[in-house]
Amino acid sequence: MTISDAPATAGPITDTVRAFAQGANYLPSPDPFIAKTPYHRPLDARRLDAVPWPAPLEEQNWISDPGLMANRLLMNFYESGALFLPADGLARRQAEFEDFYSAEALRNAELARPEAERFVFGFLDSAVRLTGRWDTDALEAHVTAAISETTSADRPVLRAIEESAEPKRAAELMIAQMALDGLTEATAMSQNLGGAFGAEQSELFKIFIDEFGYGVFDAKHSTLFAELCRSVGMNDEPHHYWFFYLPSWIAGNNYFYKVTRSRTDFFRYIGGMAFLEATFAPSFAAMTKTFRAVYGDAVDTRYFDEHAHIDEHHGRMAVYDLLLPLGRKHGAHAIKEMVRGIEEVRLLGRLGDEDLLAQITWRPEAVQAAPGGEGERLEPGRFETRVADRDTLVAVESGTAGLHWTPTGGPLELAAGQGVRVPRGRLYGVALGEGASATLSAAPPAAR
Amino acid sequence: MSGRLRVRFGPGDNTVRVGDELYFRIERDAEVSVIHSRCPHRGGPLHLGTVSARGGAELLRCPWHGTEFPLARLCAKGVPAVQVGGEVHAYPPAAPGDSAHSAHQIVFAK
Repeated sequence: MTISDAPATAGPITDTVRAFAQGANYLPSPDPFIAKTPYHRPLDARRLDAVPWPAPLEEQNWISDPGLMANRLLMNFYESGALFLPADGLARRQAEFEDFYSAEALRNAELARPEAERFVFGFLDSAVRLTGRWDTDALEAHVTAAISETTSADRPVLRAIEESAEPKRAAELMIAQMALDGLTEATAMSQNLGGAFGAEQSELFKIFIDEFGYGVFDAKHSTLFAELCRSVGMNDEPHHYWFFYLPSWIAGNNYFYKVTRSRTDFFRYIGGMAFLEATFAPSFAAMTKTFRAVYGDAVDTRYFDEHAHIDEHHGRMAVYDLLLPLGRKHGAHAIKEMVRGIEEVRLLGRLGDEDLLAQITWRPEAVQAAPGGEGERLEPGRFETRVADRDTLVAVESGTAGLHWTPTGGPLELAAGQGVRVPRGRLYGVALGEGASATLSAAPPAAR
Repeated sequence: MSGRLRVRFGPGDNTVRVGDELYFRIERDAEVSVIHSRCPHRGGPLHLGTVSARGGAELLRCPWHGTEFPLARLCAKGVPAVQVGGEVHAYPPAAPGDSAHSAHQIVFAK
């Protein structure tokens, strides 16, 4: 099936999305990893075409293949508003650069963005509801409780990493998710630095310059994150691990782009940001312990250590110099929006932790598998990851194939006649060997 | 210190008592509001009032003197409350030393 004869199942943005995804930067990749370019971000046009845009995701199907595709698309929309330059210079990437920031791509992104945002984040409107007349006392009581509950909560993801049979594979899966924000840290925050909004603007800027290392590149948080990656043998280029981002983690990153791009979402952003800044310090201290347990002295934990320290300050600044003063100054609507931001970020964080925990604890195993006669045949010569929308059987008909489910640690090698059962909700990709063929089909009930 | 107390409405809780004050929950279109059960007229127990529809609006009638209030306005002026999934937390005003207790009262105002 080609893009042009794919069924048009979606709503009014289908054509716009299709035009955007046909850009050269979004075409398929033969490899599981993206190298040497920040612009190549494959979008499977056929799967994008099947996204039912007018029917927003609900919490029950939020971790799904349409969710993955919509979040990848949105990330490209947002990031085409930020500047990326290749680490080794633009000379060989001029055409990609021009395409990524072309007027047509930006126009299509702006046209399709609102509906794509509704598709991904629309469920938050009913998942979080606020009633009554809010004031600053209620805001303070709420943010204090939210911070306390979160900082004292169990950390099942970190425990799962430490208890994993392959702790490095598990830790690096988490690093790849964190790279979504870590390698471009505070880009979303930068979208609210302009304008004129009083003393709180300067308070926000103080937090921002810490994130940017006071103008010293080696102290910039994204530099520290890159050094964390290098210290464990991971690539430090933005989106090298494009195919291994979980939908929930892309969404968490997209959320902050969304609420900083829309000025009317400013208070929602402040709520979410203040909540995170105030809970980060103990979270990052716990990460240092886990990563030391996994890697010993080899890992560069300065990224975690810096946050464990500075976010003690950022948490206080964000709550007492931003959130509460903004509430006092701007009243009930602003307060409700800030509470909404806190709760939306908590909910997205919970969904992200559940997704990551399930991916960490999934241990794919090769089984004997007859090819699925009616199954979807994988295209040779291109690599893609997808989220299983049902328990799925990957069956290798001929040749060999590798099942990828984490960015490091290598694939599970499969020979002809073998397969893997992929549980619903899990991210996976199949790299076909030379001349190999494989199918995807519903896993038979007895095998579940 | 905050002048409000965080109280949780568990799945079976229809009221909560903070100090001497009672608050009750009421749900419309899956949205939960928390209302102070003290009639502004003479302090009657609004949770024992009745709700009726008239002229396209719902009215809550106090059981003591029959004073009626638009329910939408009571909800809009209600106790700040946030609902995530089945969890509802509300922030009624509280004096130092106050504590909150879930209560299971007869509630007619539904």
